[in-house]
Amino acid sequence: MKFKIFISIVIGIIIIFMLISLNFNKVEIIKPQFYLTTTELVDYFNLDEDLADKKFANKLIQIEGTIKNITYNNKKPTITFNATDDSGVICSLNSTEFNHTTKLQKNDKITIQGKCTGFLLDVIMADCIIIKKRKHEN
Amino acid sequence: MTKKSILLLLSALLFIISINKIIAQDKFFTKSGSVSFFSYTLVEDIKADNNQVLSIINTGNGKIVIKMLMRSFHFKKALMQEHFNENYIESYKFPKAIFKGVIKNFSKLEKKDVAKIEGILTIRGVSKKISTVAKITQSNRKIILKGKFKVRVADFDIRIPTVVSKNISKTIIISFELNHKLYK
Repeated sequence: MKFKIFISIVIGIIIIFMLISLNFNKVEIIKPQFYLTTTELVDYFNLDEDLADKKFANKLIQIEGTIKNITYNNKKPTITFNATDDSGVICSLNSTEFNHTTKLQKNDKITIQGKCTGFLLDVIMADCIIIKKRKHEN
Repeated sequence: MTKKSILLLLSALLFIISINKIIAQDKFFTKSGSVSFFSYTLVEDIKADNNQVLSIINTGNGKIVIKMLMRSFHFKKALMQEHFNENYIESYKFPKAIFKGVIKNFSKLEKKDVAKIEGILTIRGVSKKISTVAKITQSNRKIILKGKFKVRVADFDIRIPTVVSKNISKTIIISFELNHKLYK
């Protein structure tokens, strides 16, 4: 009898730990609220920053665009997308994406998902993950 | 069109481009500056980083403008980040922190020097005068600014509930490192 109680407690603890670990940093399983191209997103902010901020800020967004450059800060990748002449989209990615970003290069067309945090000179996105990559058209 | 008029047009264009270059050379900027803040108390240490800070220096007059999004501050605990944005800073109402100031005696600074910076910091729509010093390293293509200063939470009308008042320090240390590049 005591043994059964012990086993059930152990199983219970394991299940609780699994649930806790499931709840953290699972951006990828959540569906985005908006699907846009980088140009569309920048156009929204250029047109009316306050309105766009209310619409997109703190929301999960999936964007498609062409890579301008990739930089690294302590293995944490940042991808900048071209949009209009003056502004683009700057996406800071999770460090777990490092292995994927090393395979990417300038002018690749990719889709990225993350949280929009607002607009400075460019639209800023945080906690991004790569959804898919397409070979750039020559 | 005669040859002369084409030549005139070309030279006018060149003139405009060269003027643009002269103006542009005065500006150094970064879109990936780092700003962190720390709160040390006996109960817990809180740290948050923002690596997407925009900063522009005009070398002509030493003026500096720094802008950052409050939502871009990253905390270790997601719940802290949520409280910071929703309850304390109210990012939905005040998404940005802005510093507008001047680097004193900019033209007289050495390649490696300590610069005095004065200006107005605006957080949550509340403006406060800030005066601090920063390490400056400059070359033809780069200007690096590095330093830290303290602000009082109460100065920006940030209300912290008494339940967590022991967890959050009354004064916050803000540190910054801004690697400016010549604007092309």
